[in-house]
Amino acid sequence: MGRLMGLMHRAPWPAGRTWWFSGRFVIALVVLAHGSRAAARQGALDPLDAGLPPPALTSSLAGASDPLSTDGSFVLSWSLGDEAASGAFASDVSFQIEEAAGDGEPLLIDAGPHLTSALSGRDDGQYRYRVRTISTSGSTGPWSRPIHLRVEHHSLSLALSLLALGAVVFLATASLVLLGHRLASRDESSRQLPSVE
Amino acid sequence: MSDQAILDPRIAGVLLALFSVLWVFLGWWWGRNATGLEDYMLAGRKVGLALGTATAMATWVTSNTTMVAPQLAYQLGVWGMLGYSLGSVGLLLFAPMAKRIRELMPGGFTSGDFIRLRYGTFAWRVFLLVSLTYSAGWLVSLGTAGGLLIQALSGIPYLVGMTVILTICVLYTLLGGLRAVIGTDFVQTIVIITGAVIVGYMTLGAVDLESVHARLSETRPRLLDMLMPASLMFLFNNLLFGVGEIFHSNVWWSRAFAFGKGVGFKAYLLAGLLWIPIPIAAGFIALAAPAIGLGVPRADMVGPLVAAEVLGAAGAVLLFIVVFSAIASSLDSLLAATSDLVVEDVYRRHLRPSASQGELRKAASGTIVVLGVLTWVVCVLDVTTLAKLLHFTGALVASTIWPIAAGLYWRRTNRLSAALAMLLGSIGGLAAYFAIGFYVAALVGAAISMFVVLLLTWLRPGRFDWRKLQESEG
Repeated sequence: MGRLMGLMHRAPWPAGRTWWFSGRFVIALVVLAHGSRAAARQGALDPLDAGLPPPALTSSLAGASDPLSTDGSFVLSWSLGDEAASGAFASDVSFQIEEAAGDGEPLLIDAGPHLTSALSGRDDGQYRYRVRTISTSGSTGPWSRPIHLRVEHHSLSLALSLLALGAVVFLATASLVLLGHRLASRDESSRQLPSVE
Repeated sequence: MSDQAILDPRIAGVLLALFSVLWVFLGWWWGRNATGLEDYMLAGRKVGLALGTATAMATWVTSNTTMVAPQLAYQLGVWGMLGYSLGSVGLLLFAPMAKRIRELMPGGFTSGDFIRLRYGTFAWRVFLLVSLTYSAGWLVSLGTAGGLLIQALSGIPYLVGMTVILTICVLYTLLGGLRAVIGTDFVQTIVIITGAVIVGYMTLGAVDLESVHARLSETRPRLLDMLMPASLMFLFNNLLFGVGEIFHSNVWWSRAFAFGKGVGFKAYLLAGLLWIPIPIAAGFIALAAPAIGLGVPRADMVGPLVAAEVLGAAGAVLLFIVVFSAIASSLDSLLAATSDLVVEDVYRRHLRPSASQGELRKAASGTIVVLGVLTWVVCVLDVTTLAKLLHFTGALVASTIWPIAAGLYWRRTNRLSAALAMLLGSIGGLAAYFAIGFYVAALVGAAISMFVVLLLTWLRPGRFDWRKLQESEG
């Protein structure tokens, strides 16, 4: 239990760097009493039959006109309209994010059953994201409106400058403590109250 | 987030109840003979090496280690993982300082005592502001992390989990003081180390390293980039944050006072060495998330989610116990040490200088309860705002590194330099936090503080008499 039941593999559609999950796609983390829950799930209606609207997608990044990440990390959040409805349906559907970097081919990312997804490690560039629902039977809902954001890491010169500053502060602190310890130990061995100039 | 959990709430409830009873019983048992103030606050000042090492290590393995170490690996990559393990440098450097503290202040009670006697009233009050702000942020972050982790792992509502973990820690700290804290820390250390070894071993067996690397290269190339700017900046920032936390906090000073003669140096050194691999193991499993196709709703939940995903039901049970132990071992230490600081530096030194030992003992118990209740109220009212405070405090605590280290070893460092270093370091670090990011606040705070201490020590050298520190006795 607690494992993804689908196996990830290259898909013929859409072409290129696209990943998806084959077969029945059940994102269920460990639930020890899974018997009753699984039975309840099997009897549930496909939530997409209920006419779920496309998710409303937002990002954690500041800047409404040009959202910017300076460390390649951000969080995407979405809702399915009414907050309560989102919570109710979210236990029966999973979500899939499409990421397009610049002019590159889109990549599908599994977001599990959650209403947020933390992404990281992105390189510099413009990104476009959209999200959609996938039911337990594999049918997909409509895509959300896309959002665009930009990743532009801090300059390497700033990073190396701060790295060097950190190294200096650390080495100075360590020297203070270790040298002080050595001198204090020497004083102690001569049976004086520890003192260091 | 969805309502799906990795552990059945009934099993989680049984585990929560069992370990709660165990901690409270052990706390009562170890603390039953702690009658006097020194026994209660400092465990009689004769803690041995095994207990000393265990309490230092367990206290430093916090919810941050189980949640933030994987989060930083997930956000900042390989340097994030290795950088977090540099948190051990604080423990390693505090080893010689613990020896020095014990020698200079054999009768000391708190870190506040040292600042007051070494630098005078103004610097002491600045220090208390820094330290109590940090303690408040850490207490709230531990309370909220406890509630959130229990909810995420088991589905038990946040309010229930948070209330249980706070109540249990308050109860056994109240019953046994530092003796109870150190005793339970010993058991919790065994649980944490055993759990970490099993989780690490099982994860390595379950995840193919090549696929982890291939998937990261394809979808998150910057996580493998050794020149990723944010992670380069983070490297020494995290180290200095940890050094600042340990150098200034009464959590670590109270242990230096409580350890028997000659124990502090070895205990902190061993604890630092034992701690190093834990964040590396915790961070590594986060990097496996993309390879197993796991959706990560929040970066700080990536560690527990991946571990439970890879290890299955047994792993979820193990993880729950480790996380519960890690949070309890830090929360109890912080409650006890913050209570000591409030009683000694606020109640006794500001409000009731003539308080008897019995009154102070009662005040210590009352303060633990009040701290627990206040933490609970804040955790109920707002789960995010004050928890975020902990991130800001990197600048504050790093600004205390040089005033404390120089104050312990240099006669010439003067009062003005200490107060200005803490004030200017804090302001500069906070400015860097907002201008650049969380990964530079402690670094900038420490750098400014160091510069101020060096400059003013050179311009206006003092000549401190070390014997003044022994006024704290009695």
